[in-house]
Amino acid sequence: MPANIELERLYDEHAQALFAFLLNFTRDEEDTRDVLQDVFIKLARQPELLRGVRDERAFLLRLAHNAAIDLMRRRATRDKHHEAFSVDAQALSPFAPATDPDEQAFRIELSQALGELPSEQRAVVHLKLWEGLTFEQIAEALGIPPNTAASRYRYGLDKLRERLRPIYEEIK
Amino acid sequence: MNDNDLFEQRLRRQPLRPVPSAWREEILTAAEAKRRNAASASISEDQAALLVGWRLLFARLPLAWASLAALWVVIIGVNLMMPSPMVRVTTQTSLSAQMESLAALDFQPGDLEVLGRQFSPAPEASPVNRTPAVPHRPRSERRRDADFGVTRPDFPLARIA
Repeated sequence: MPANIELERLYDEHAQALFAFLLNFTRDEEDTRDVLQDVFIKLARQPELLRGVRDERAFLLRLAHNAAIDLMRRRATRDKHHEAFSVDAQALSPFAPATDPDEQAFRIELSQALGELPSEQRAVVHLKLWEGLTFEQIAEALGIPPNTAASRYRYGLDKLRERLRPIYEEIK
Repeated sequence: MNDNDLFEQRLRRQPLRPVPSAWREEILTAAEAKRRNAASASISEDQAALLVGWRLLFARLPLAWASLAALWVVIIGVNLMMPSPMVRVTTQTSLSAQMESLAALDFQPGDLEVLGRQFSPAPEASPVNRTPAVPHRPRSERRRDADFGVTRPDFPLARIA
């Protein structure tokens, strides 16, 4: 299969998942785009990376996660006050806008609550809730032990529950 | 199903934002361009490395390489100056000469006999019948002849011992 067709296939199958994960992780659409592009550039230049990979999605999530961490480290040293300038809540939200106002309010609250989680817990929560990965798959994607993935998920979910309890009780 | 599970399920149901459609073309184009650049860069890197290698090779012994080049120029010049038909005739002559010599080696059985007769060694001369000019006599008698007939008493062997 030609390289560009293979790349198109990878994009069509995995870009949506990578985009949502990266947007939730970086909390910035431009950063998400940069990291997503970096991932596909890497795949274009080194197509052998995927040779022998059993779970493409988990592998690509790992690539994206590593690239996002690199970007955030560079960003942290370059601009320590980056998050102070990010004011557009919808631009940070990994969720689609809702027509129902209650639902939209819940999504905005959820997005903010996710943003308050440590990035490592946010990554695990995202992969568990919205990618439906098992803890073993999450562990493989993030390069951590499965028990760590499970504990990070529990801690993250507890924090979200506490943070969203008022609005959740209100719209339930 | 408890409240925690319901909360988890509600979170799961939240739809994620779709990836902007314009990104597909942009990202794939950028990736393809980078791939091509990387491929051409690797080729030019190889060429540059080759050039550097040649330069190093020639820079070490410039006089030797120049002499070698001059020698090649002379060889090529001489080769060009030689008329090519002559070369062909020479080649043919030498070939025909080789064929003749090979034919000459192709002996017939009769030839071998002739050659055998020509180069056969002369028959062994019969042993010379050398008759001694002086008849074989005891040494004492020969001595007596040399002394012009003067006889001397012989010493007995026992006395000498």
